[in-house]
Amino acid sequence: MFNQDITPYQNISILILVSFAFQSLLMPSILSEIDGPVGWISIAAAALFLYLAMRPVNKLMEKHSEDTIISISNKLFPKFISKSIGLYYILMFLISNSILLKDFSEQIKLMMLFNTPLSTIIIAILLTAGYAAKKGMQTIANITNIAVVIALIPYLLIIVFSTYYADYTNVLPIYPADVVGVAKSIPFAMLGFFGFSILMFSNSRVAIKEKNLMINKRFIVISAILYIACYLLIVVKFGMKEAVNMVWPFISVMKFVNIPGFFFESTEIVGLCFQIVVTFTCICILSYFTNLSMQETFKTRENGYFIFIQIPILYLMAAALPGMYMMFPYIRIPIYALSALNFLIPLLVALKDKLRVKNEELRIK
Amino acid sequence: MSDNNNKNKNQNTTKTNIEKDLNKNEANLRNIFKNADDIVFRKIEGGQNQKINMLLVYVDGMTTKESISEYAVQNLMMNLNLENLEKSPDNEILNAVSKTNIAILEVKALLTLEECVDKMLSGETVLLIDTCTKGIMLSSRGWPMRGVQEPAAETLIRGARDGFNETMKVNITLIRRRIRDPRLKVKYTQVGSRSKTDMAIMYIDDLVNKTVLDTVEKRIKNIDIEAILESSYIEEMIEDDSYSLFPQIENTERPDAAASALLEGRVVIAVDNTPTVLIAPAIFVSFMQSSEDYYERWLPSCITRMIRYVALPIVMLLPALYVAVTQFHPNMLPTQLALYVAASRANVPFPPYFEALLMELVIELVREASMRITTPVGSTIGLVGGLVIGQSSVEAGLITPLAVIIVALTAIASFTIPSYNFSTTLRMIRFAFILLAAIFGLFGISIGLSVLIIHLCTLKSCGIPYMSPLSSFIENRSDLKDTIIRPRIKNMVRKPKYLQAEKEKGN
Repeated sequence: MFNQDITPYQNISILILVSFAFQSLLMPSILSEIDGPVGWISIAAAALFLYLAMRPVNKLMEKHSEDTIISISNKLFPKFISKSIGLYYILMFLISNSILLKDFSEQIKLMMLFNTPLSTIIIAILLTAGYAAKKGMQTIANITNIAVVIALIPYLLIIVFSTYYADYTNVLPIYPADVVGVAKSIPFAMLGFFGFSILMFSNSRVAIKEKNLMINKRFIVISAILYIACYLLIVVKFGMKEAVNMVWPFISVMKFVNIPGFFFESTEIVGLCFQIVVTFTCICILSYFTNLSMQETFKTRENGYFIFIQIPILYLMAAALPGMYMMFPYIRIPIYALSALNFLIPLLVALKDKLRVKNEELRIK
Repeated sequence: MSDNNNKNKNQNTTKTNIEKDLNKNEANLRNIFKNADDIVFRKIEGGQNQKINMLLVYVDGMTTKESISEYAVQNLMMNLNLENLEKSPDNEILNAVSKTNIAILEVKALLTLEECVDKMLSGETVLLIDTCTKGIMLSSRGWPMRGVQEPAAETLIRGARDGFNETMKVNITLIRRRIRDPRLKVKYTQVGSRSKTDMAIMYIDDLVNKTVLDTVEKRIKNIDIEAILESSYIEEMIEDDSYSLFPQIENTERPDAAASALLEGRVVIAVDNTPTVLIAPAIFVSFMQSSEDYYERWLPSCITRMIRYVALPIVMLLPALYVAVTQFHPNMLPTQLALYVAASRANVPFPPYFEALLMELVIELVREASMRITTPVGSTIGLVGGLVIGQSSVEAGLITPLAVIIVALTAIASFTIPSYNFSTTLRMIRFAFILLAAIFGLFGISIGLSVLIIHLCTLKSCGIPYMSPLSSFIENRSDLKDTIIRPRIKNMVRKPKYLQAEKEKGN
């Protein structure tokens, strides 16, 4: 109660919320890979792979219950490899955060603040996120739970009322499915389960660690359901061709929601206000875990002040990067690489740990 | 008053023993109380057979003279019988005096002059006997006090009408009357190097969270202050983050509310000379609850509480939303309303944010003015301020009628928040939201809300997260039923989980 530990359900909220932010952002990239509305198969396949990976990963984390993936690597690998893993996670979190920041700021500018410079919006978000990241894990977990409570009802309303005037034939035909397309889009779908990378860090902060495997599995299932629901919603609402060209399809859905009795003309602005809380929380979470990765990689005790290094880096990256929708055609290979590394690094660490135990057993014999 | 009085750091710790010579003791006391004309020194000669010199000392106005003269002085003068006084050890003399000659319930031996002074200043009478190196405290506290009245700030339609007053012991009695359980513990302590204010820490032994209790006790023990004139001093010194706008300790003038808090497993702190007792820990949702919620039928109470939660964003955000929508997002409004707003704003010289700030400032001025003057005049000021200034400002074209409606609605909504200091905080935050809306529109409001949520999620009250149970709503889901809604009494069997109360009701 008086420490910085989080509860298992706060952990699952963090994992689902982060994943949801990326899922809603990555939707067009999945769609663009497939010829036909069978992207949900890619999502289901990605979820299955991650679900299967949960057991070895959790076994590893159970053994090193107070450690994150980076500190476990420090124990198992030579310095060069462990540092590389640490740097990879720092870079990956920074890039993901800056993409999220950039795209979201652009949406805010487009929908809310036409005359405000983009950099002002980015700085405003960054400074606020920095304030949260510095406060520590428990604050982040508390914010996430509150954000889930705040966003839950408006999101449900949006999803329910989006189904009006939707063209359900857009989900057809399922057969014949574009198998190659589905296979190619699995890495994109896998990246949507961003919580998988986060849990490599957050699991060590959970107060009741015995529940981690159950919570992680639930995260994959709930996240997959949300991902598929979101995907189908966008397909039935916009159709394949239109959805591929959208910047942030889930936010665009809000423009076309017609809630009976809701007298505001622009539903999307109201929806965006709730989305701000959710995406903003996601940016806070990512900033915190970047701090944690920096702390583990550079082996420092205090991580709160790393945010002052992060803010200018994130600002420069967000300002320099083009939006995700503009980068799609050029970032296929980096996305494949990112997905593969996110998936394989924990498995490789788990494998190395297992081999080490076996070697020790053999040596004793 | 108590043996476990904590000694403050800057308190004088030198001790002067009571001398055998009564005249010396009198001289010492007179020296201590030089130029204090309200100290009464009454010399008497006691005993039937021998003349024993005695000195009664008390503070005029703080003691009940009748009880001392009737039950102590009379007996000491007429019936005291001590053989070989000079040879008797102190204990025997004291025993003889206190057990056989003083018909007062509370009597205590005092070892030093400082102890005598402390007791006198608390309203007790001190008896010093010649040749005796110990004094005797005779319980005689009694001063003019306000009766048990209904608290003006926490009036109810249904519920008990009694409220705390300025005497701590009366307040403790009012709570004890409601919880006749030997496990209700009361620990006395004193704070303030000069004021030496009496305090009582109350809790139910098997319900309280021991970590919270220890935290409260430790923080009170560490208070280093000259004087405590109101419980707010204690509140400010024991809260987790005194820079925060949000109150982290609850306060009440109602004994039923204090008793209810104790039964939840919380700690109650009663401070002498103030009718307001403190309750720790306090969480966000507890400031939205009123005692009456539990006295009325559950369903209407439930709806009333939900209305209060609707009022919460109105108090904080409505003027800011007005600014954001009119200044940045007029396209959000239904066409007819947008046209009306545009038309009404056509002749107004100020931008919406200035209009909102101006009106909010006027409302705050009216509120402050009506609080500083007597009640009948205060309500007149409120009426004049509200009606005349509002009406004439609209007629003069300084503000729009919509702005008046918005500000009035906000002011009314702020009165629905049961806790006065919580409502004040929300009113202050409103100004920040107006400024944010003026700069960034709805985005600014969202950013402001995010900062607010972060701040609230960081706050703790005696170690308990301020946003409990919302911040861990799945684990503490059983606590959610008494947050936004008010459940049926029979469904409120379990103690709040976030407090980690140790036993369930009825055990």
